[in-house]
Amino acid sequence: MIDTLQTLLFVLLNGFVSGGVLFLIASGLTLIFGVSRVVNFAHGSLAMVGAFLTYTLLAYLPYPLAILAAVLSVALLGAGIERSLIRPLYRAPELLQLLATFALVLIIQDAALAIWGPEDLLGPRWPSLSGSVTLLERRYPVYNLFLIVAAAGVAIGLHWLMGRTRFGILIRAATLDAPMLAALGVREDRLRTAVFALGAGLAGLGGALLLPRDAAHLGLDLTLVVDAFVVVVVGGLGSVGGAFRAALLIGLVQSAALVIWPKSSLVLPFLIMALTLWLRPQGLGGKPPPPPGPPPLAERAPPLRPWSVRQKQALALAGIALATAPLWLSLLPGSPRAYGLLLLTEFLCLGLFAVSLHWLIGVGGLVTFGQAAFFGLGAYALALVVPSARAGMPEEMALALGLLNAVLIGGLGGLGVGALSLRLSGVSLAMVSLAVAQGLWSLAIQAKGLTGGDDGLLGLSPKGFFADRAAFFLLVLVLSVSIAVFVRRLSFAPTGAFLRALRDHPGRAAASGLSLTGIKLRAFALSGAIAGLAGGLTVLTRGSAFPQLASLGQSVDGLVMLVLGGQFSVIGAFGGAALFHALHSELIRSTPYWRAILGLALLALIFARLGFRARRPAWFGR
Amino acid sequence: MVWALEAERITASYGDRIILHPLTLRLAAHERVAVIGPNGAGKSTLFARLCGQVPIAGGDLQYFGESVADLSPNLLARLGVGRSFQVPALFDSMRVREAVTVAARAARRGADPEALLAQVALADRAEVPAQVLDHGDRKRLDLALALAVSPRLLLLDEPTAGMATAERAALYRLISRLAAGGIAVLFTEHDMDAVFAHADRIAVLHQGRLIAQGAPEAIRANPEVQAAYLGVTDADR
Repeated sequence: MIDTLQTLLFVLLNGFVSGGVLFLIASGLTLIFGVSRVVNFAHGSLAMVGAFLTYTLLAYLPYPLAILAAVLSVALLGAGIERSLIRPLYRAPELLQLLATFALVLIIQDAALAIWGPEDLLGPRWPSLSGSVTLLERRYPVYNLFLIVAAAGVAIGLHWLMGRTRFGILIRAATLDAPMLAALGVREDRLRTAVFALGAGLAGLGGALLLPRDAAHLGLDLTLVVDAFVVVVVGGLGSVGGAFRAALLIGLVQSAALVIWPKSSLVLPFLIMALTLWLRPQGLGGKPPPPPGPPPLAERAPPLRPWSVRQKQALALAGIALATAPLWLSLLPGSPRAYGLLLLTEFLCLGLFAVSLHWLIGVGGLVTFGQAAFFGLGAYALALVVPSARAGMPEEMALALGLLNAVLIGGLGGLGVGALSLRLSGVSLAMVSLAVAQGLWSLAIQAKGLTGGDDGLLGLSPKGFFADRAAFFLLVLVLSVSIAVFVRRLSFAPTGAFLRALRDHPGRAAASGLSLTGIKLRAFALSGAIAGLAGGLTVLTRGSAFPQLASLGQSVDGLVMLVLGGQFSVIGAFGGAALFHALHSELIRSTPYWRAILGLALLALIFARLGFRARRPAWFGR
Repeated sequence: MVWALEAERITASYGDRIILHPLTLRLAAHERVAVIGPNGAGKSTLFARLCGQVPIAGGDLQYFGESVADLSPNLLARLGVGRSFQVPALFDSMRVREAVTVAARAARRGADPEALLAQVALADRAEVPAQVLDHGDRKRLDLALALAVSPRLLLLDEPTAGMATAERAALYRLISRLAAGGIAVLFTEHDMDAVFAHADRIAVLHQGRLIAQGAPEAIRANPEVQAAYLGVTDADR
């Protein structure tokens, strides 16, 4: 408990330290978003590069100069990224923007792996700032005090910049109304590049300042960017002042929680986020959102058409080919039956996962970046039920019970995330769902007693009748085909039509008497249930459950499938899953740098899609 | 009597700036009331509040004798309030018939989609995707979506903006028929000829104040209204 003045002082100081670090990272992210409306996923990666660069430069320079050089380099890198990659994306749909900057995360991750290696790099001590001082009879690291001063310095500097300089006034004007600013003759493109460089530099500074205290390592990018997302959402998108207050709030609450109830510190930021979104969806410093309008032209969905006779015939043929796979696979030379069936089963599980995303993103227009949460929930829901169920009932019943539980828990997870994001849309929804999924993922790693942590849960392959690969494959095939057909039919039924109405124009949907909250909740619940089933089936296919099933990588895999195959149809979901699975399983076996290759492929895909869209007449208006 | 719409001293402000001074407005069934005023008079602000898009800060708003100050747009729709949007708000991925059917079904008040399409003269375009309609058709579809809730009260924000003269006249004939059928209609309109030809009553907003309301002839003769529209202020007199 906090019962002495001494404890109080240290809680405050630690809160200022972690709040300060949070602010350094988040301020750049929110600045960039404010001016360019792009959420930069690679913001944590820039901070990570800042830390690594400082480490390298320290071999030649003293600390202050090394940090300065690292910050300038990262700022330059940021400017280069904005000019080459971000600029073509300004008019792209949000999903593609987010995926493109995520591709950058993958590429930078592998570049850092190639340059600095997989080991944690512990920074040397900063000679003049090491050691500690005694405050109220307790020792406190000098470097932490320096961090507080540095963060405060940056905050004051930004405050001055935004309030007193022409550059700052332009930033604020662009945040409020970028088209108006451009109409007034301000070179918007230069402003965006400059702000991206500034934001990148701030990220680099945040990373560099971490080095004397912590190690530079390859996990920094996602940890930092997720923390920054939470701060930016709580503070209000685009609001630097809001980010400052949010960072301070989260830092202080976390530091107090470490004293009162250490175990809660992991979930606290998410609780603060949930509470903020509940009471003030626009965040502490954000403006109330405008009334819900239609999505921008680039994101409008095509009409939903019934399948033509030929399409139906092709689908029937594909179905027959799949159903007879156990037969024709054993006829092929080299006996690829077992491996082939495994690949096909995995493909169907991924297809189901992609269908769950198709429902939310394609039909509902609700861009989520945390679908792995439901996948992981379903996986563990099954993995935790099956072993004990096996003891008391026939294997097939135990499996059914496990799968049912996966559907149920996945659906409940969907309801939870849906409830959290009722009043959100667009990038805020993407950021919040991502943050929740990352929270669940770290929970899966840390709750060793329940999930086995990184060692996972093993021995979950089906026994009995479904121990036969062919029988299990057919089970998965029947399940996925019936769910795909169900989702397809539901898209035409009132449930789906209302969801499409919400996607097409939330304002009109409400004026027609639809309860947007109810529709969103149902959409999330169904999507969560399907993703949960996919997760449960994946566990049975692999015979094990690991935290990776709930990781961001899993979410992004699903999004890549959707972009590959097209988000607006069930066929697209399965087609994308097939293509992705084929590429992915080859890629991982062939190179350790598969992330970078995946990232580059993703960028190529996105730019190809943008090029295709740009030639469509609907885009002449720009 | 029970008014279709009864706004009792409703106000609106943005920070310290008052957009609407306390304003009282009533509307009976069968009545067509136009809200007019120069740009920036507060029409859009008033409209957003009447539609439940922005909550009422001060005063009270009743539809059919029920206070709706806290009701969200979807509950208003279920009460029988239909609205149109200045920029047509359509379900762009749907075909015309599907859009109207979905809207009718959503409102749970059972308007007949085919009758609606005939009413707004879109029956022959029923299978066209909404996203490829031309402007006049989009405006008419927007009205059809408003009518899909089987409204007792229609709130129309510039229902004919951007339409050709002939189309405009046809649309106002439809509005008059609807009013004759018992629907209360409140609309905004920039074309003064249309306003004076088709409104039973006119309410004039100027700088956030309701400066006059009454029959068209009375409004035409009102010196304050003339001043507001001709830009003559008290100081100039």
